Amino acid sequence: MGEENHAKIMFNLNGKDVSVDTNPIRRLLDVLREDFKLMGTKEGCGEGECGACTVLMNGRAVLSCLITVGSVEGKTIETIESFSQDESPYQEIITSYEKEGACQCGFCIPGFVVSTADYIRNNTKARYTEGHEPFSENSIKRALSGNLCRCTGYENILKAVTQLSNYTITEGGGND
Amino acid sequence: MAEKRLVGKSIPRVDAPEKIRGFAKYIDDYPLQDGLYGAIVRSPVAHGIFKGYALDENWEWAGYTIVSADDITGENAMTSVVSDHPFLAVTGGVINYIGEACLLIAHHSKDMLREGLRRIKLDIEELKPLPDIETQVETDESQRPKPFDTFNIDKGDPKNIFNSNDPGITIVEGIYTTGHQEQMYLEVQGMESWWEGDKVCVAGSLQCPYYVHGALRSLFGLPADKVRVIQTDTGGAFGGKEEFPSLLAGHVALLSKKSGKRVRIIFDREEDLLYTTKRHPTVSKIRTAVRNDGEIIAVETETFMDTGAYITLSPVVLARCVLHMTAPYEIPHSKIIGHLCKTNTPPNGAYRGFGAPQAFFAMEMHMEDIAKRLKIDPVKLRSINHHRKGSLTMTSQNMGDDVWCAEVLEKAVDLSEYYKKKSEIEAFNKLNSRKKRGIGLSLVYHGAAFTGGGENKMGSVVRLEFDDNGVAHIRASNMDMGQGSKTVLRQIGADTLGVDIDMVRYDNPDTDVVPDSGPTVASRTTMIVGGMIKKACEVALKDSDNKGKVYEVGYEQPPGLKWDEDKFKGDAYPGFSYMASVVELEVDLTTLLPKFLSITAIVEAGQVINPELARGQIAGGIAQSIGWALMENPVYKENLMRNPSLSKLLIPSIEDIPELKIEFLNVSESVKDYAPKGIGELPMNSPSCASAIALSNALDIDIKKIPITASAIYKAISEKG
Repeated sequence: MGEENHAKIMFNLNGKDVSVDTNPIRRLLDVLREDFKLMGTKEGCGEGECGACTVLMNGRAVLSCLITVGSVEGKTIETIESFSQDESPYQEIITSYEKEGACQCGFCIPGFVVSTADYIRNNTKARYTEGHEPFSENSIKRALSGNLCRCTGYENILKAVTQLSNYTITEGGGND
Repeated sequence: MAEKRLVGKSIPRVDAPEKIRGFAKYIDDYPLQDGLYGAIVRSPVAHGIFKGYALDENWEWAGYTIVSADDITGENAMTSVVSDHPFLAVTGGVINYIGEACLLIAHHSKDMLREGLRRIKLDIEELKPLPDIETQVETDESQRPKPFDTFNIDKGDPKNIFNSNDPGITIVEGIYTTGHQEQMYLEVQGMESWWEGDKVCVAGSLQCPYYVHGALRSLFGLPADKVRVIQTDTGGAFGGKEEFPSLLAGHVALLSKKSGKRVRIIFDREEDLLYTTKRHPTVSKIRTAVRNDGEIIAVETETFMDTGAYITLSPVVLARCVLHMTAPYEIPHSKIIGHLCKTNTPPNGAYRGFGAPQAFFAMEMHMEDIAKRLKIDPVKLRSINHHRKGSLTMTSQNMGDDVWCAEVLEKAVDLSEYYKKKSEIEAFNKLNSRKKRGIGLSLVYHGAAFTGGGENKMGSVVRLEFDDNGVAHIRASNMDMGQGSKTVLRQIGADTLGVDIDMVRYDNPDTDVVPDSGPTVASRTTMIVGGMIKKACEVALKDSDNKGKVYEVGYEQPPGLKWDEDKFKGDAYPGFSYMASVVELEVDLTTLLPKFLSITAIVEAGQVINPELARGQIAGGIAQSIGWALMENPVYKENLMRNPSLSKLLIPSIEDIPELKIEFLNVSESVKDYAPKGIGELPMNSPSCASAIALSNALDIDIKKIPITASAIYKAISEKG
């Protein structure tokens, strides 16, 4: 098995500064689930195809099965668990998914919710850009095409996101 | 009490809040305390004799638990229709598929487990595998491997019609082929086991707690009270977690017994795709005798179904397939044959529709062939032949009054603007050389609940336990895999009791707590189990005070149902749901990728308990159905799937799903009492056919086989010239 490469990695996780002493090439997904017991981030395929492991890194959606924990040093990571915290700017997303019943087995839904936050933040920034059509059906579909759901046929997920067209996210999002 | 009615209302899904927030706990979300991770040492060959195994002498094996068939104290076979599938290959025994379990291994470290797996060598003497299903069908009957089982359903005298040489009769023939399909639940298979003294316990992602319970009883030779099965939140199943979890449960329980520790096995996606059950491939030969006005008077069909290496539930799947073979069309003379054929591929098993979607693809494509041959409008052809009140099926089941073919068909034509679209498409295709559009319609039904006497044999029981606060707890072995039964069953209970939904509870089943109310399959949960819950509530209503009381009811077959299992005669199903769908699509001739433009679905499913959840079942079923026909293509070569990854085996994404027009036929006025019919599987049957028909019309090509790939489309276009 050889010698294990260890490093102390510091990052901000769901609003708190954390550090973890581990092999930096472990998948962020595994560190979130095994070391921080954040079980809302799911593994659906392990190859970046299904989106169930989506988290926000500096406010943008990333696939935690494809990035190493070493690459999040100094960054801000938000997982689905933070979305229902009292001060979360993302609560309305949860409410809209609930209202539209955008969920069946539920395994993929945290990933969809996180991708929706990315989409809305992006739309907020681009809202006044000429030619940009925030919340058009096509733009929502494009934004969520990296998340797969086998149960719902996506109908209620599309409705839930469409309902959020007046919603903006200006906080957070990092520097990129 | 009238204003308290909950049935018919879109009560929000009760489990949505925790799932959306990421707090629902699937099996791998529980901490594994002082436990081991397990794995399966699998055969690399499709057919052979297992001679033994060797452990790498240069490796430290302390800390590993290794289980072989010698460790099995009870019966080394999965209990299903027949007990042919060993939990572990026996030394000297035959191996029948790539991936068959030979040994089990566990270690507390995942890395060490992987390393250990690599250092075990299996000794297998290779044998020649059976030919694949399509090769078997092409082989002369005398040379063909003998089918495991053959079903025959006869009505009238079709032979006489086919031999009549009547000039007023046209004979139409075709062969229709369907491929494997993966359920692709987003949560892979996973299970954990521990022992409490001499009692084996397992928890995991599963549809049928008592199937697993039965499997463990016979594997360890234990009485019922020494086996406990707990269902954890299940991330989709679609049949894929019907029989397969019994095998996995056996494996984790064997490892746990030997190691004395908790053992968990969670597949990765590749392992799940390669070795778990798939929809059965089929080849169906159909010939019909049709009067020149379009009336089909005789039909002969012969279906070959690929069960894979072991039988699993395949005879039941084949029964449902052949029983749906003539689709909802009344044909006076019929001969329906089905063969169950073995191959050396991983066993196929339950998948939403359970054999029926394969039958509909064959018959609905054949209807198009008839329409083209006789130059009859395909909608009109269906109108002429579909079931009417009092129609007799192939088993001579009288359909009675509960027949809705005409209504769903008419409404689907209206809502989709079928004829208007058809002429618009004709104009579009004349003007465009690069893009072609097509529209297709399909009419189906689905026999709800178990086939024939299955429900009677099952002897299901539900219990209603009132606690000291008067809250009613439903005790049933059915589970919510996303279809919404946690909401719907509580809704039925609360509606009957006339109380708020919070006064009726329903938890994930645990066999220590719930009786056997049957498996969560066959679109039976709302219809059959819901009906039993309603009955238990009605019994409870007779008492003035329910606190602390327990009410138990068993399944009672509706009066008048008769089924002869040997002759396939009589009432094959207690009810049928109906659906017509219309698919409109466009194909870019430079990419050959179909793009769906709109999908219309009209459904009749009796009383709808929760309209929003019911609609969700239809929407989700449509996506799986069109995926099966036009997108998902598991490639099998040399007895194994060769593209086992989600990126190579594409399922529909949100961008693939067009506007869905879904409506339920409002039959509530004719429904006097509680009378829902199954809807879970119904939507799998129709959009696949309508998609294939639309594609065939768009490109003016014949489609006899699904999934249709770009290369198959290219070949068909080239052949057309």
